[in-house]
Amino acid sequence: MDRRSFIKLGSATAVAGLTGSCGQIAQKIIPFAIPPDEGINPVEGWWYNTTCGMCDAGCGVKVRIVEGRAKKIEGNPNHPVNNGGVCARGQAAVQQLYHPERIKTPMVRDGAKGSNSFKPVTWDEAIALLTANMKKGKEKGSYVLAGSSTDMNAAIAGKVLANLGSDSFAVPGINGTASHVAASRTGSGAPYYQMADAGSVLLLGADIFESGFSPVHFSWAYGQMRGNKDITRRGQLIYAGSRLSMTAANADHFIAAKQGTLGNLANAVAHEVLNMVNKYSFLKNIPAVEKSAWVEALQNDTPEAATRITGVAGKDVARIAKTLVEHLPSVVIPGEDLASHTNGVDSLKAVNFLNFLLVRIAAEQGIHSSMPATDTALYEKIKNFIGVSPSVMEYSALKKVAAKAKTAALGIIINSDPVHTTPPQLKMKEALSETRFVAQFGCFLNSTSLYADLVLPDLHFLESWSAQVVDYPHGVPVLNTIQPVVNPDAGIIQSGDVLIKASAKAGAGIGVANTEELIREMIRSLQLDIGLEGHNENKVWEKLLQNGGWWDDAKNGDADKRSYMSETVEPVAISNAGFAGGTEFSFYLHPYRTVNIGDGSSANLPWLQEMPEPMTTLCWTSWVEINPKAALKEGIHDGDILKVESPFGSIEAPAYIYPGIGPDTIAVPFGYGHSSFGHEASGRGANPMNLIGDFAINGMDEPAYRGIRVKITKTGRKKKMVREGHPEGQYETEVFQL
Amino acid sequence: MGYSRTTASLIPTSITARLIMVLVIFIGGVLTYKVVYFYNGPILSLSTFTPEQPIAFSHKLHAGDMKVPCQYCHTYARRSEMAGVPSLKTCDNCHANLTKQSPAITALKKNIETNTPIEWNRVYDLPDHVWFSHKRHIKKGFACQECHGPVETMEVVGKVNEHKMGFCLNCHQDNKAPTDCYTCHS
Amino acid sequence: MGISWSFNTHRDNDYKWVMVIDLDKCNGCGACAVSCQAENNVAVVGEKIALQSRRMSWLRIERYFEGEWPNIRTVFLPMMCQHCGNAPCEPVCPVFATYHNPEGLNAMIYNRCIGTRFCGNNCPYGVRKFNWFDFFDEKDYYGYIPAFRKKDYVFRKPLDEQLNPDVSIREKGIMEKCTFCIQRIRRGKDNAKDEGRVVKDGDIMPACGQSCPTGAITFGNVNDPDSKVHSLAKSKRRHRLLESHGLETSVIYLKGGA
Repeated sequence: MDRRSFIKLGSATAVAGLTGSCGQIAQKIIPFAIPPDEGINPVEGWWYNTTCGMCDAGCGVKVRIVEGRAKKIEGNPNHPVNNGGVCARGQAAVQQLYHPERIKTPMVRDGAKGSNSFKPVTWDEAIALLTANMKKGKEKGSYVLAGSSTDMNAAIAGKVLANLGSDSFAVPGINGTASHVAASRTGSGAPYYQMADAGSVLLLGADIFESGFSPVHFSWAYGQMRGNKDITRRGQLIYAGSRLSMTAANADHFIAAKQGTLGNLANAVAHEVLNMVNKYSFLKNIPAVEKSAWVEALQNDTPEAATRITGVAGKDVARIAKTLVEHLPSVVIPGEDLASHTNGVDSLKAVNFLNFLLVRIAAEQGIHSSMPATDTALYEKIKNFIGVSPSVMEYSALKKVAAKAKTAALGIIINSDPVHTTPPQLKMKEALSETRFVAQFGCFLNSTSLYADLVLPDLHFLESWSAQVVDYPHGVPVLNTIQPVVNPDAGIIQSGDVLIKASAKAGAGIGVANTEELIREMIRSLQLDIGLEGHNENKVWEKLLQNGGWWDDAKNGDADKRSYMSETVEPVAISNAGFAGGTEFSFYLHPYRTVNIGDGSSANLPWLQEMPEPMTTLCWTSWVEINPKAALKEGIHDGDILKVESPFGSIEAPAYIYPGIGPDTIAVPFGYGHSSFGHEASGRGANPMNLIGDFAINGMDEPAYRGIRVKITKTGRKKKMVREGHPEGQYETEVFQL
Repeated sequence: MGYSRTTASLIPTSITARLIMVLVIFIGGVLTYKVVYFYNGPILSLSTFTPEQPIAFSHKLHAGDMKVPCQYCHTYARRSEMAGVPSLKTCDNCHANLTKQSPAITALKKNIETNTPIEWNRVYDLPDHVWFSHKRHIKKGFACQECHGPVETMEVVGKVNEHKMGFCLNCHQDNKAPTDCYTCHS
Repeated sequence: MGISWSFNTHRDNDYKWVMVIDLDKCNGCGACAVSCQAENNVAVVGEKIALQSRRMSWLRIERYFEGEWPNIRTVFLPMMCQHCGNAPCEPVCPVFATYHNPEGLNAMIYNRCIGTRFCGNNCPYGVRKFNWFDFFDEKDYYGYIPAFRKKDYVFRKPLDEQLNPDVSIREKGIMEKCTFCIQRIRRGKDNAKDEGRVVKDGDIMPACGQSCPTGAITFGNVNDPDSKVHSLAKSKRRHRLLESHGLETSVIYLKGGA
C-alpha cells in the first residue's frame, strides 16, 4: 500500500526524499508498569474464559486479550453448551464493548419525559438520587425490568426488590417458548431434547438454529447428528411449519402446514405411530388397556383428518411417523410456530405425548432416551443463588409490572429496552412515564431511556463480575462464571454493585459489599466437586474462573440412561386455533427472530447489521416477505414499501419476494425499528411489535403472536435493499448437485 | 496551449511549458528511481533517526560497561514476535538495591512509586504490512547487533540500519531463509 | 468425473493447506462470516456502499433456492477465496501482487497492489474485494451534506481497539481477499518450529472454522497423510466448484445428503 500512495503523491515524497527530511515521526512505546505473567507471548495475547452475555443461552467463550484489549471471541471447546462454537451475535460482543456510543457517565433527565435530553451527574449524586427513590419505593411500590433472569445481576435486583417489599420483576419481551416451559412441563424440570445422537428429529415450527433456547448448542448437535463418525448413521431432520426458516432450510424434508395446526400434526403422527406399534408390536410392556385408551383418544386424528386440517398430505404424515420409528432414538422439538397460537398449550402437550411414545419405543428396543433427565436437585440449589424464578419470563409478570408502573415510585430497568421489545398495546411507554422515578442501567441509550429519570452506565459483560445458570438444561447443570477479561472502564460501576450500594444506604441492603463477594459466597456454600484435593476456597475460585464455570462432566454419561419421560403422558385433543382479525385481513402474519439481529438488543452493532440474514440475504434493513405468486396477484414488486395493518396497529416496510413462504402468509423480522438506539439502529426498519396486541394463548397471558391476520397495501414508495448474491453466477448450475 | 502546432516535436515551445516539462521529467526520474530501488535501503532517506527519550537511559552504560545481557531487559525477544520494552519492575530489580543517584534515576524512581509506565519513543518501527518475529531470529542464533547495530556503544540509541525490504531480503538470501512474500507480508 | 484430484502439490514442501467444508453440516448461520470479519479487520461499509455491491466481507454465505413453495430445496454455500492451484487472478496482475506461494496459498501482497482490479474481474468466484474508500479512517466521510455523502457509515473510535494486531489494515485502492488466516498459519508454524516439529493436524484453524458451531469446516495440511483433510479430500462426496475449468481449488465442498 505504500507504493500506491507513493505513486500518487510521487513528487511530494521525492522532494522530501531529496531534502533528506525523511519525516520520521516518533511513536510511543508504553510498556507495562508491572509485567503480566511470565512465559506469555504478548503479541499472541492470551485467552480468558468467561460466558457470553449476548443472549440467555449461556455459551462458554474464550476471549483473546492483546495488550489489555479484547480482540476476538471464540467458543470454549470444553463447555457443554456450545462445545467450541460461537454464533454471529456472540462474536459481535467485542463491538458492543468498544462501541463509540457507550455511555460513560451517569445522567439525569433534563427536560420533559421523552425529550431525550440528559445532563451528566457524578456517581455520588446518582447513587444518592437512587437511594432517596429506593426509600420512596419502599412505601409506594417499585418494580424491576431486567434483560435476563438467569444471572447474578438479576439475582441482586430480585433481592433488592424483595427488600423494597415488592415482587414485580419481569423480563420485557415476547419470550417465546422460554415462557412456555411451565406449560410443557410434565415431570420435573424442563425437557432437554438431545439431538446430538438422534437418528431422526422432527421440528414442529422450531427454529432452533436461529432463536430457540440455545442456537449454538443445537447447531453443534446438528453437526453431530449429521455424522461426525460415519455417514451411514446420518440423522434425519424433518421440519414442519408455515415458513421456510433457516432451520427449515436444513431439513431433509420440509413440510408446509397451515397456521396453528402443528399440534394436530403431532397428534396425527402419534396416531400413525400407534398404528405401526400394532403392526410391529412395539410397546409390548405397556398394558393393552393404556394402549387402547391412547388409540381411542387419537381415533379422530387420522391422516385424512390431518390433511383436511393441516394441509399436510396423508403420505407425508405416514412418512414422518415411519422415519421417527425407524431411525431411533428420535425426538420431536416444538417451537414458536406451534406454541404461539391460541391452542399453543394443548399443542405442546400433544408433542409431549408424541415424545413420550417415541421414548418408550426406543426403550423397548434398548435404545437410550433422547430426552434425558436433568439433575434437578443441584440445579435448584444453584438457582437459589443465581437468577430469579423462571416465571418472570412469562407475559403475565410483564403485564403485572405494566399495571403497577402507573402508581409505583421507583422503576429499575437493567440492560433491557421494554419500550422496543413489548407490544405498544401493553402501554409500557405510558406506564414508564407515570412512574415517579425510573432508573435505567445499560451500556447504551435506547428507546426506553427517553422515559428514564436517571440513566446509569453499566459495565459490559466482558468487564464485569457475574455468574449465570443455564436455564435450558443440557443434561447436566451448568454454572457459568463471568469475569472481567479487560480492565473495566474506570468511570463506570457495575449495575449490581450500584444496586448493592444504594440499597444498603436505603435500608434495604442484601448484606454483601459487591457482586464478586456474592459469587464467592455462593461458591463457598455450594461446595462444588471440581476434582481438587481438599477444599481450598481460593483454588476452587481460581479453577472456576479458569474453566469459565462448572459443569459435571462425570454425570454426562449417566444422564443419558435416565429418561425425562418417566411418567405416563396422556394424549390431548387439539382445538382449532383462533386468529385475530376478520376476513378483510387476508394474510397471516409470521413475525420471527433472525439469526443476526434477534430481538434487537444488538441491532446497533455494525457487524450484525451488515451481516446478510441467511435466508433473504438482506442487510441494513427490515422487510416483509411475500410469496412470489401472492406478490404477482397483488401487483407487488421487490422493494415496494408496504403498509402492513393488523387489528392492533400498522408498520411500513419494503417487500421482499421470498419463495419460502406460503401465498397466504407474510413474514416480518423482529428487532428492527428502534426509535432511539444510536447511529446504526435508529429508524432502521420497522418493529412488528406494533402489529401484536392483546390476543393471548388459551390459558396463558402470552400473546398468540403467530395467530394474527393482517392486510397489506402498497404505499407507492420504493426502497432499494442490500442483498448478497453472487454477481456472475457461473457455478449456480452446479450448486444443486451439491 | 503552449504546444507547437506546426512541428511534430514533442518539445513544447513556451518557456513555462518547457519548465514544467523539465520538472515533470525530473520528478518522473526520481519516481522511477524510487520505485526501482524502493526496497533497497537507505539511499535517500537518511538513517540518523535518534529520538530523545523521556529518561536519559544509556545503553552504553548498561549493555556496554555493565555488560547486562540484552535479553535481561528485552525478555520477550526469545519467546515472542516483539522484543518488548522492559517494565518498571525490571528496572526496579536492580535499582532497588543501587544507591547511586542521578536525575535520570530520580525520574525513574518517581515513575516506580506512582506506578506510571514510561512513554518511550520508538526508534525502529516496521510498517503494518510486515510481520517480523524476534523469536525466530534469536532462536536461529542471530545477534541483536546484526540488525540493531552496536547498541552497547550508544549513549542514545539511534537507527543504524533502515529496516527496509532489501535489508531483510539480502540477509534472507544469504542465509537461505525463505523468501516467499507470505513469510513476512500479508 | 475424468478429472484428476491433484492439488498441484509441491512435493518439496511440507505443507499444502486445504479446507474442506461439509455442506451437509453447514446450517447457514453466518457465524463464520462475522468471525472472519473480526479476525481479519474486514471493514463494515454501510448501507449506501453495500447497495453498490461493494461489501468487503471475505467470506459470504450464498443461499440458493430450487423449486416452488412448498417443495423448495435450499443450498447454503460458504464462499471465500478458493486458493486455486491454477488461479485466474494471478497471471493478470501487472505487479505480481498476487502470486502462488509454495504452500499452495493464493497470496495477496497488499503493499505491492496498485489497484488495477484485474484480478477481481478475472475471479470466477467474486471473492476479491476492492477498497473503494478508507473504511477505517474516522475522517473519511466524503461530503458535508448528508444527502451527498458517499458513505453512510463511518468507523468511529474506540472500535479500533478491537482490531487484530496481526492483520494489516488495508487502505483505499487495495484489493483484498481471504488469506486462509495466514497470521494463524504463520503463528502455528512458528510455534511448531519452537518445538522442532512440523505442524500437527489441528494446530491451525482459520477463524471461520474455529467459530463454526456445527463443525462443518475442516482445515489442514493435505500433504500430511494422517490429517483429517487428507482423508476427507478423498471422500466420495467431495466436490470442487468449476472443476471443469481446471482451477485446482484448495477448498473442497462435501456434498450434502447421503
